[in-house]
Amino acid sequence: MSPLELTLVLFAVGAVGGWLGALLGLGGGFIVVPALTLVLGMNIRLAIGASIVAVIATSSGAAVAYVRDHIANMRIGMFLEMATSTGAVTGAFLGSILVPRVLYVIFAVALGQSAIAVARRKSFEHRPAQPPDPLADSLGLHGSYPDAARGRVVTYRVARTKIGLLLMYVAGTVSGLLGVGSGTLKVPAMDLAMGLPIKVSTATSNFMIGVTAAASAGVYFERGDVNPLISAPVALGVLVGALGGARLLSGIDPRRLRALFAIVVFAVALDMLVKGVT
Amino acid sequence: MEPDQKLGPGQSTDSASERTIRRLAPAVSGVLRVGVVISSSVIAAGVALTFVSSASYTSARRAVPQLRRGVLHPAGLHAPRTVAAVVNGVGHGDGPALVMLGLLLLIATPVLRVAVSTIGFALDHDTRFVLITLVVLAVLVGSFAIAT
Repeated sequence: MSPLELTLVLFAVGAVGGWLGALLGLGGGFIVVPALTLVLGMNIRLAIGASIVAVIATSSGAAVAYVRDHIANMRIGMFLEMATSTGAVTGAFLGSILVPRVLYVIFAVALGQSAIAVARRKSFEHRPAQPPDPLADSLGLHGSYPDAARGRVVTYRVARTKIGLLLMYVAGTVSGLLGVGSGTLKVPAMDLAMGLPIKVSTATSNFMIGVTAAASAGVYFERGDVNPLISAPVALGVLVGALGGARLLSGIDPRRLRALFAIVVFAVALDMLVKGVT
Repeated sequence: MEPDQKLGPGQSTDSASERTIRRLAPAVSGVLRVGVVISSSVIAAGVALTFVSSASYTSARRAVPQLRRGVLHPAGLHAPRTVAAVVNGVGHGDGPALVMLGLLLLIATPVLRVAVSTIGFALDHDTRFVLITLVVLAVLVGSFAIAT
């Protein structure tokens, strides 16, 4: 393989990761890291460095559309970013103390459970009445979004903001510890705990993950893990893919989106479990 | 779609927060768009420059196995790790340094987005969200300052 061929392959890997990541509220690291390590045989550090850049590219590229079209809830996103960014810094510090092997297993179990829970929640059209949440009321977090698949504006209320904030801190910590984008935990936290529609959860997760990744990007940059000749084609591919994926979200059937998310997260959980056990 | 779609989020709840978001959304979306366009242009230019200026990288097949093993300087190319080294490399017409500049601009884009939100909330006298976004901004800037 020549450097030019490698560049094109990395671009294609990025495009797939960005496209799926934009739809599912994930950064695309779940595609980028295995493709670079398992398929291309690259060093894990370089793969994670490229993945951090990919997460930021997916987030920024997709959020252009999600913010403009009012699908991402910016107030919820920015409020929860306080927890994810401090969590990311905590994780970066804890990384030297804790054993990653144990973390992978815990993370795998948590992810597997939330994938099943997200998949089971079929009653998206008839969401049970949300419990009152004075914090969400006072911060003005409730909202609405245009859903092209249902041909109307969907109004929603937010619940359990404090639990959501706590879960986001955990998501941020895991992200800082394991160098993974934590969209896999952010989307279930918003979907299951806070009761947001699945499209608002994935779009808002996408809006947030760029900030979480930026909080730890400096560390990877300084370590020399961000290789320009590997990260550049991945980032450019991700941007193209994310712009395409973001266009599809409004028109997709929410049940299909939910199923796709559950399948991808379950696969990520299995991958984590293998890493922890072997 | 129904005509009330234009109202955007929060239409049935808090009208003050709805107004803020309606004004803020185009600015935030615009900052992200400008950040993405500029950073991707710089990255693409850096990749092109690397291929054009470094014949050894373009032709050397051994560069790829080196990259795979984690050798960060294939074919004599260097990846700068500090902002000063990036700026210095760009000044000398170094392709990988130009890519790094583009990657740094990409990393800065979400940070800039938070800063723009802070200004937006301040203009609307939404004190709590000014504080919330300032906390996020402080963590981001602090983590980067500690790391580099």
